[in-house]
Amino acid sequence: MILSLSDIKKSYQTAEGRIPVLRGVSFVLAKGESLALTGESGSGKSTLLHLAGGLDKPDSGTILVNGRDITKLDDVGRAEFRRTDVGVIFQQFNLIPSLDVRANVSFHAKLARRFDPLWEGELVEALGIGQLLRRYPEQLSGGQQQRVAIGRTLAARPPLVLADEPTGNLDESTADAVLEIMLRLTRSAGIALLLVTHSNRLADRLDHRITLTSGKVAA
Amino acid sequence: MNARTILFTILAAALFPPIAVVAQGFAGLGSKAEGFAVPQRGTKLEFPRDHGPHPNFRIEWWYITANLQAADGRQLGAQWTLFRSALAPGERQGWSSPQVWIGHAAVTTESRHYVAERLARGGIGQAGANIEPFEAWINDWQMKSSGTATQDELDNLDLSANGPEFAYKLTLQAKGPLVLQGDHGYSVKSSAGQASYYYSQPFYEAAGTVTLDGVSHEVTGKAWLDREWSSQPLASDQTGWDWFSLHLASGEKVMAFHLRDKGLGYTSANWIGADGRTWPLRSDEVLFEPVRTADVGGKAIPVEWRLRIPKRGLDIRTKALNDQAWMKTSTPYWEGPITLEGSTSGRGYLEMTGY
Amino acid sequence: MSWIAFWALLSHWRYRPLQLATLIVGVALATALWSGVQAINAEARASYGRAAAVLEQNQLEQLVAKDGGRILAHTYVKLRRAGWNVSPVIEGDHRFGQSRVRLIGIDPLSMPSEAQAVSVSSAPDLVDFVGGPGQLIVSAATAARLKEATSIPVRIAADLPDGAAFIDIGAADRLLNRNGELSRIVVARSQRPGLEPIGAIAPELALKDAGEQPNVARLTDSFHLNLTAFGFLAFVVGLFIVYSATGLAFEQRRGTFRTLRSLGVSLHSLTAMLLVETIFFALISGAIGVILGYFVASALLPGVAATLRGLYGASVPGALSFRPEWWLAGLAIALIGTVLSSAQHLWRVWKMPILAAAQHRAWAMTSMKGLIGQASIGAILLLASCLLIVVGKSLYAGFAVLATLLMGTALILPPMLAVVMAMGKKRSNHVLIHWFWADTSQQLPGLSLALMALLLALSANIGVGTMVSSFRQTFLGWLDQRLAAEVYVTARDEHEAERLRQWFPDHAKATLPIWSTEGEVFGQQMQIYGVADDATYRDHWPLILGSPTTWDAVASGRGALINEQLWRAGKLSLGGQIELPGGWEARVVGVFSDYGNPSGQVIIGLDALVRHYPDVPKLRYGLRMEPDQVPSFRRRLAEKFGLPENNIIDQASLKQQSTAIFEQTFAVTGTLNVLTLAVAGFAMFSSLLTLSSLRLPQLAPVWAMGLRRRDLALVEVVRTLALWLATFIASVPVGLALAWVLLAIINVEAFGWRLPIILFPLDWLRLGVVALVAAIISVAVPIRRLARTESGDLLKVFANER
Repeated sequence: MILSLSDIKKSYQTAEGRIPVLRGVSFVLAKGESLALTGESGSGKSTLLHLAGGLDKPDSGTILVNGRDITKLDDVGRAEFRRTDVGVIFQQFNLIPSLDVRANVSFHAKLARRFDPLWEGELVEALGIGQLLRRYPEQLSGGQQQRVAIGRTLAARPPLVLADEPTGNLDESTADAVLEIMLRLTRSAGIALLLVTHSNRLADRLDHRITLTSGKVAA
Repeated sequence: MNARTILFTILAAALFPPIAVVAQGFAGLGSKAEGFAVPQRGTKLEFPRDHGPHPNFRIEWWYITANLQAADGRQLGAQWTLFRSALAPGERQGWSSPQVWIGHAAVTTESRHYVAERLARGGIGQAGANIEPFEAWINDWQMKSSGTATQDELDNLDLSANGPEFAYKLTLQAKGPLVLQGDHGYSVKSSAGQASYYYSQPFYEAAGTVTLDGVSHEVTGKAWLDREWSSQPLASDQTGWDWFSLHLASGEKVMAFHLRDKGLGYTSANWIGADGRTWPLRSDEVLFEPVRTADVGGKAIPVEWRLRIPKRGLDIRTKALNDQAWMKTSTPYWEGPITLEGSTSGRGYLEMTGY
Repeated sequence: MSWIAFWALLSHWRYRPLQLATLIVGVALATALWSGVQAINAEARASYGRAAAVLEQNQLEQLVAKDGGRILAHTYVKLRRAGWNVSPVIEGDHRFGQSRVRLIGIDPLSMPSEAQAVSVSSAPDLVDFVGGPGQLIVSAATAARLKEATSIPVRIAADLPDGAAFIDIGAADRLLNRNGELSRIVVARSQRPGLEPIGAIAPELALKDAGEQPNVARLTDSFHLNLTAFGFLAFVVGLFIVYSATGLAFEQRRGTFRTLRSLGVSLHSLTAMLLVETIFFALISGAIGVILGYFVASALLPGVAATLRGLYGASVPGALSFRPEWWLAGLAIALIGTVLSSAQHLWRVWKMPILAAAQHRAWAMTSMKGLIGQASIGAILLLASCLLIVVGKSLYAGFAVLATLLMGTALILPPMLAVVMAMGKKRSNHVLIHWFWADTSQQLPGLSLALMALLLALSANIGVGTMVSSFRQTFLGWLDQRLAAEVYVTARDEHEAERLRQWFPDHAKATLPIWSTEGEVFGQQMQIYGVADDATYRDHWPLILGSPTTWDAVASGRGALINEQLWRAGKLSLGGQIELPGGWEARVVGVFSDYGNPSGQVIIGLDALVRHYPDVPKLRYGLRMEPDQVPSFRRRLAEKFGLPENNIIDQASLKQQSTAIFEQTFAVTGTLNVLTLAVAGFAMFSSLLTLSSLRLPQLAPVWAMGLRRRDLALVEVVRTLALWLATFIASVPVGLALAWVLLAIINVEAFGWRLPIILFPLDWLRLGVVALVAAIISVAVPIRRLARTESGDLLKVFANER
């Protein structure tokens, strides 16, 4: 198993008191597989993704990535984990505004010490961003930005890719195209993909699907 | 620091010692008063020597008043006075001279009284008096022998002064001799014995030009010179005086003054014949009586007097040409021309101080 | 204008209290330094005016001798007897013991009332003044100095400048040995018409117009210009802060603007509201600034007063009076400054299309295009600066050189840094270093104002520091040469001087009379010294220009030395003729440096001095001897003549006194320097703080890809320090250029002397350390903030619900 969550609980302190977001979530994801995480707004999808990406810590439960429990990692370990073991694609603010597209794409790969120009060349071609390499993020459209973000994550070839509504800002046909590329590339590279979405149409195209309701996996 | 205050100080020191502020202020100076000369009875005045300054005495003046008439018949009065006041006895050449000179000039018409004042220190020539040829001056004001003296240096004088709105140039010709006041020029000023040297030339015929507000008037008339010097002319309880100089229609002259104090005061007078002979009068032979007072700058000043010398059959009323003849100088006083009516007629000058 | 809409706009500040504080502190600091300096200048100018009115009666016309000499008393009497309303003055310096006092001898009897300086209202005062031993009317400070130095009674009067005394003209004549001769004659305003013209009565006199600027005011102009320049520099730096604070506020409220406009608020009223807001803040912070400025000025004024006294002999009270005009001027400058620095943002709002993107579009992260324009303007300014150096001649040209130099380099700095970063980016292999360069160069537009402010402050510090240190070293060396005699003795009177002259040869190696007279040369009052023909002068006297025969020519009485000030004034050249008071001429055979003297000075042979000015006081002497003989010499002198301690000064204490004056002189400049640096530090702080709130979206992806917050914070620190370092390195050459302008242009125009430039790298190092500390402080708060950022805050950046 690439990713294995068991009995994850997480609550947030808010003005109205402590609100539980995840109330014991468990699931697994195998190498090269894709999993759609769906649910209504506030069901805890994004929180779950952040926890899996080592961006946040659960209150209890274990998260195994490649057999390692990342909830036990300290700050250094988690940063190291983020660098090498996981790639996160967000709906927006994916890119580093001060770097051009080429530097953005290779950034994570170089950080993870897995930079491979050939693979990157393939990716760039596959993503159709060859014309954009000299541009800066603010000069790109939303779809272009998202393709660059995907390229950056896949260029680093992490075993696990987490995507949070990666196509949320895109129109339907663009979203489909972007997802298509993502699926094709993760499959070909043997990457496990966890994708948060509330679009059934997108979720249906992935290998598996789980739905969160009130912080729990719906039956 | 201003000049008016200075003048006040110096004149007040010399003329009105009883004034409290001055008395206090001059404690230091008073102790040096011993250094000044004091008039002595029996000293013979000598001319022209005594026309000049006496720096060993504290105070001295050259004082001319003129009753004038313009060509159109209008009456005028003119005054020219040079005071010398010493901070210390004696003269030193240069800026350190202890002598201070003060000039007062005035022209009085029925409607207006013009006044000017000048100050200067001695020792450098800005002001002073020369014996021969005679000249007394301060700045561009002067009283100068015209050089045609027959008997005395003061017989023929050129007199000039000016102020912001007036100027005059007069020539004076003496038609009689100098007159020694008091006991051969020794004039007693109080029953306690304070005295000054005092002589006059009351017989001047005056002619010349008076310019008022830019308009010149030819004038003629009579003038009177008083010369006086002393170191301590008043007693400490005397507050001021009323001083008359009269040209009677007969050609006779009268000098009479009354020094006021808390009691009866002190009176002195001299009857001067047309030929210059004098008959000093006893205190009880002259009677002064204020008849009418006028409001002059908030003060009640007696501008009309009844003056009687029964022994000489004189019973006159004097009337000021201009009630408001107030000398707004550092030491203010009233000085103006008067006319006489009664047992005889005539003109004269009245000086009233200490009001 | 709708109040609701206005409140909506203002509510922004409630959520950004720090931003509000930045804005207010920025305007307040700028206003404080500016109005503080203005307050000092106003106080000093008022005091010169007072002094001139009091001491020189300069509101009236004056008569002076055409040949610069004195006026006969008889001339005064002639004018008086011609009817002129004039008053004499005998004036000069007199030594009571060791205290030098300007005596102004007046004749209170003839002094026109409009020129009455000291008020003596009671009768006894007057007689005390004119009669008896006379009286000195002085300030309280002068009275304290004169204590026991004179037997003349002293009276204290308020409003009198220190170091001057009113005295009766008779006493002045006596003390100054003037034989009745006058220094000048005051002419009253009202004169009788029809007087004979003065030219006909006294053709030897010249009329000096009323209201001529007091001498000391002209002398000190440069000093005040200096202060003003510093105040302005600080003000500009403060405006940088305001610019960035208002800019950020405008950008952050773009969304609000759009919403308000779509709700029907017209562009007119929106702009009006923003303008009202700007004015409101300007007035509040301006008021705070004026009050702060008052304290700044109060704190600086004693130093300024000491400087002015030491350097120019100008007397300025050490206390400040609160003038209403500062309030107005201070608020006005705050208002103008704030509006100016908000103008660009207001203009953008005015031009903003109603449906412009609401997201804050990288206000601080705009492209580098602006930098190119900025660099061109900077280059033009630098070119203008070079041109002014060649063409300019006046003091103002000198300051224009300074201004263009500073502004030009400040403008060029950010583009230069951008170039450096582009190069660094190109060469860096490691991905994080590459990102570091890219990210830093992206911060540049946001930080450039702060960096420019920093460059200005650091350059000013280096420049002024170099000038002061160069000056100090040159001056001390010069003092060593010039104070060659081991002991200086002042006789109490001419008789004692006579006896001393006979006694000295047996007790000292050489006797050097130090005699001088005062007179007008080229319409300026100056000292004329006589020097003995002695090896001391030939060996030691610091000459800038001269020849082997210089001292022979001086000794022969035909030659004169002039000081650098007089030489640089341009009216005299080596070999030319100089006309001296009393109507004789000498040939200029040399130029000597004369630091610290505001006016010209002439040195002639001693014999010539005595021949042309027979009544010159012969009281002061310098004596050569072995240094170890000084104590016994002092003792013998005191025993034999009973000379007071104060009349015998040894070289060491004289040097100490002279140095103290100059230390004071530059203390004020130093303080202003520090304040300017502080303002620049605050500008940096506020810019970093501003940026830190915009940084999260830029940092979040990097963090998500595996960088710790600590690493990010470290990078931020390194970045800031690198920028500071770059700015500091840039400021060294700029500071040296500044020092050169100060020493070679401004000093020559302002003081009349030129100094060699000496480098003090250790001083820069010290400044660098101070700057480093300031940098660390400025970055500390934003970094703490970043390091403490919750994961949640970083995650929110990516949150869908945004």
